[in-house]
Amino acid sequence: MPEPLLSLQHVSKTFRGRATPFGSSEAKHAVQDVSLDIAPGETVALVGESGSGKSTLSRVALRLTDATAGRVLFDGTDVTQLRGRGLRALRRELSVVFQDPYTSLNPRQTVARILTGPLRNHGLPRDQKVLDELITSVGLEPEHLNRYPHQFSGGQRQRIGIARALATQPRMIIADEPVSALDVSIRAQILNLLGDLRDERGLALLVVSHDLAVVRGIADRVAVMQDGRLVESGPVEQIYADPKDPYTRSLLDAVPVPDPHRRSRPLPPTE
Amino acid sequence: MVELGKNGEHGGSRHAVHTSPLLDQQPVLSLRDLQVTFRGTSGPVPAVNGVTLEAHAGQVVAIVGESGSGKSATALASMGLLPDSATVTGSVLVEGTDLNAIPEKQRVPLRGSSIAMIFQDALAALNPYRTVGRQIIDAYRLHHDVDKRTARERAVEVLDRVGIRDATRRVDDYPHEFSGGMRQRAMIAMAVVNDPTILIADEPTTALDVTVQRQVLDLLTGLTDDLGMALVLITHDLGVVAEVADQIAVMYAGRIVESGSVLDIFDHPAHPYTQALLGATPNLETSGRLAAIPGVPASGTNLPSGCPFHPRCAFAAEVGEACRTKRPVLELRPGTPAHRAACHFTTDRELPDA
Ligand SMILES: Nc1ncnc2c1ncn2[C@@H]1O[C@H](COP(=O)(O)OP(=O)(O)OP(=O)(O)O)[C@@H](O)[C@H]1O
Ligand SMILES: Nc1ncnc2c1ncn2[C@@H]1O[C@H](COP(=O)(O)OP(=O)(O)O)[C@@H](O)[C@H]1O
Ligand code: SF4
Ligand SMILES: [Mg+2]
Ligand SMILES: [Mg+2]
Repeated sequence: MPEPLLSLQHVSKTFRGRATPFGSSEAKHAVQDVSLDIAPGETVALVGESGSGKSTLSRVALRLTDATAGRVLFDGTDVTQLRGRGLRALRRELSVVFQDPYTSLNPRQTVARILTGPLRNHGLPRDQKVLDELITSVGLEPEHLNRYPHQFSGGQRQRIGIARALATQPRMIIADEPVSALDVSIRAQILNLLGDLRDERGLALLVVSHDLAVVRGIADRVAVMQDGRLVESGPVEQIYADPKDPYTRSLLDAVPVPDPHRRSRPLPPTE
Repeated sequence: MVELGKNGEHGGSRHAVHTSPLLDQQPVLSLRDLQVTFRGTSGPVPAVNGVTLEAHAGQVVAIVGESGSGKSATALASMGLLPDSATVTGSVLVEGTDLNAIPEKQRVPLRGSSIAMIFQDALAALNPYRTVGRQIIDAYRLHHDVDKRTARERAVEVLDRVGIRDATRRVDDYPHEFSGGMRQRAMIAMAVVNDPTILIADEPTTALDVTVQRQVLDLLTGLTDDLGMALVLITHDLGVVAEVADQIAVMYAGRIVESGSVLDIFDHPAHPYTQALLGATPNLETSGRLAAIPGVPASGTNLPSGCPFHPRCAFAAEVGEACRTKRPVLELRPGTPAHRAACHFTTDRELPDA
């Protein structure tokens, strides 16, 4: 095993219950004792139903929120307590792509400005050549740099989000439901783009999805969450062919199969 | 009163499934050359452009398409529920009555009892300030002159039928006390309480997890089979379509580009868009790259000339000019009873295997 790039060790995250005039609501154990390693260049899919804790775990890994317990190591360094310069270094190496390309881009900034933001934050060169390379690497054109987010389709906006994530030349990207807001014909484009960029740049990827079919083609390993816990993780072939956990089995069984010859509802009579 | 049968038993339904196709000649829903145009700020927005479609009792008809292809506009036009900013032409025959030719006052009694609809977002469709039971009771009493107690019993019965456990108690809950899946069931209960002939479901499972989606689909097909409803299922998910549809209409840029039985569409796709969508649909078995469709979906405001799919089509170059200048019409495939496609390339040949 190579040294993991990202190592989540016994991570828990509890949201305190809110105080209301009628007493306080129960604390929510969103993530409970999850350990997960991701090697350099490896793609791990994090799957599970709504509310299972996928986004919360991703946010802990990104240091967008602090774990209640456990440690997060990036490239061997404990980043759990990082502040200031150390945290900036982490942000440069570990980027994020969000689910909703409609709300994750500032509508008042041109694409050029959106891409310049992270470059400026990290004191990186941000001349025209850099921007041109960034925008073409995600399949858009340099002329798109002067436009605003609303002038793009959902899939194009997600490309801009990916370009922004690539700006600092990170070693890892965490993508939280990167295609679930997109049309079917566009999903494949974006998944293929993420896969190509990973291959070209040796990126590690953590792709969050509630749909096991969506991540089948891109993942090396799959980690399954249920109610805040990691119930199973393993190589992609094993998870799909021979899941050990009954919950994983039930998730797989529920995925609609795009082949009418295998359905349980009788086929219509042929005339 | 019509009984709602429980799993498999036929509760003396008015629309029992006919075993012989001959008995079933008349479609309960028939859209003919439906056109919907919205008045937009910068001119008219054509949303639906000549849709012709039929649904028979006991049948699941799927309308498949990407966002903006006109699925919801078709559904709302079928219900007569479009806003005044929309112009609707063509006919919407619901059990023989053209909804588009009668005034709103005459549509009201048909809505709910002849044709009903459920929406993608159950939370937005249910009134948060009224209990689930109250809303079902009100829907029932719109069409049935019964006392509150009878209506309440009916509400419990229908909640039970859609799989709400402990319905006698849950009937008094507010929508926010239900989970996402339960709310979707409650909305289905409200839609079927008057035993509609036709149920239109607009992306009923898009917001749900796969496990809940599976339950809701089983419920909808169960109701179709047990009560002999016609189910018009709108979705962008070809996996869902393969599992439940009898007939399929594939929409692109406001038009039906291919229609036929589920086997016609999946075994012999005759439109490049259908074939490309099938190739781009993720599944549990294919590792590696998916066959992506280049470009972006066309829409009413951004409608390419000729065949609306031509900027994205792998066969357009081979056909040449016709694809860029001539709009292909939906034509019956030779040797088939009802498989239609609108494509210059496949007029006289099959698509090569993808
Ligand atoms: N800021 C918060 N305060 C309180 N509870 C929260 C907060 N964020 C998340 N939760 C709760 O933690 C649990 C896990 O949420 P999370 O968003 O991580 O789930 P998820 O797996 O990403 O779901 P989805 O597929 O719906 O995005 C849920 O019960 C959620 O309601
Ligand atoms: N109320 C409306 N006013 C103006 N345009 C609309 C309205 N509703 C839908 N449209 C337009 O009509 C077209 C079809 O939309 P819709 O039927 O909602 O598509 P779908 O349900 O397939 O995503 C789109 O171009 C959409 O922008
Ligand atoms: S008509 Fe031409 S452009 Fe349209 S789908 Fe057929 S081959 Fe492609
Ligand atoms: Mg999430
Ligand atoms: Mg819609």
